[in-house]
Amino acid sequence: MKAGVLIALIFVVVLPCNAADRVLVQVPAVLDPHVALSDGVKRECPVESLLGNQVFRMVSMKFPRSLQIEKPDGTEKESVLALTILRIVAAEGGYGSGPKSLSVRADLIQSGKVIATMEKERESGFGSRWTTCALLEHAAALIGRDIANWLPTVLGGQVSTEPR
Amino acid sequence: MITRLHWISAVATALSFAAAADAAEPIFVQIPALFDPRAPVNDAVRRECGLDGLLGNDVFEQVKATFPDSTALQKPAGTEREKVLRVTILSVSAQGGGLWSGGKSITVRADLVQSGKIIATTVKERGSRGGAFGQFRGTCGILERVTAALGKDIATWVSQMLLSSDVQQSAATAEPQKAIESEQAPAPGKTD
Repeated sequence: MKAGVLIALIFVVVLPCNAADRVLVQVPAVLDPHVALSDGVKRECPVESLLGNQVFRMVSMKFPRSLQIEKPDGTEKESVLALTILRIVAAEGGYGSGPKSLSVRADLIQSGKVIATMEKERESGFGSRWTTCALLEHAAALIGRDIANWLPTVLGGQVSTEPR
Repeated sequence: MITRLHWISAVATALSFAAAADAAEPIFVQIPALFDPRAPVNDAVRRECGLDGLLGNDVFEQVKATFPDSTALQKPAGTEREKVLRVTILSVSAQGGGLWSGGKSITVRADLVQSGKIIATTVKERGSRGGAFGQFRGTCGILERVTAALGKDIATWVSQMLLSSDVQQSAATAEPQKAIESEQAPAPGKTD
């Protein structure tokens, strides 16, 4: 009997919580028109997709039922995470041409309104990654982790804007 | 009070059976996996390693272990009423030269599709340095370890998704995702 009650409570309490565990993440991210990027990197490295997917990967660890959305139109019922790339520092030549970095703005949108914004800049680490694209993907993963850590503080009721 | 607890237990049991029923459903697994048209993949790796076939088969093998009625599907029509698992390779970080050129990693996206709608999505990344005898493995050999790990990750995710009874809610609100243009798209060269 006690076991049955316990199972029941788990279902009754946990399932409604899961129902809210969803964020629609914009993939690919949007490249700000003012971003300067070499033709080689632009042609060979889909930074917008890499960033969007890495952010999604990290966000879905916190919000497991998250989905990707390509073009939010403001009518979504769920929270939408819009991603804009503000700056890319990525000389061609991989690790040998110096560190690579990404600067990104994340806007959390509910019912078409931006309720919180975060800007973050991250520099790639190194190690086993050598190519420019792989280094940028690493920077994207770091930003994804930052955003994933930030989201619960906002969706938990504290609407805030975190400076860079 | 006792009556209420009985009712709650009954509802919970019903939900448990509903979840178990989901687990018994056959899943169509797309083999080979797809390459995202713009996936940054070294030309030699794309040509020689057959990652799309390796990954598709590893995922299928692991999914079939949990969902025995699952079947492989080469080209889904997009309208299947059963759940279709579609895996897309998003990026491969792997230079030629085996372990000596550094660790290798692969990022993939897995989509569960039903009746043309994406009901769940995940992105997984795995890397490897080749294991205990990594120095004796080639680049493709190391990547095989990565695809095997990704197969397990994705199968675990599928189980979690299908055993959670509210995954069906996703179908109602899922956005149709951008179409995969072609798995035969021209390969982008390496950045450097």
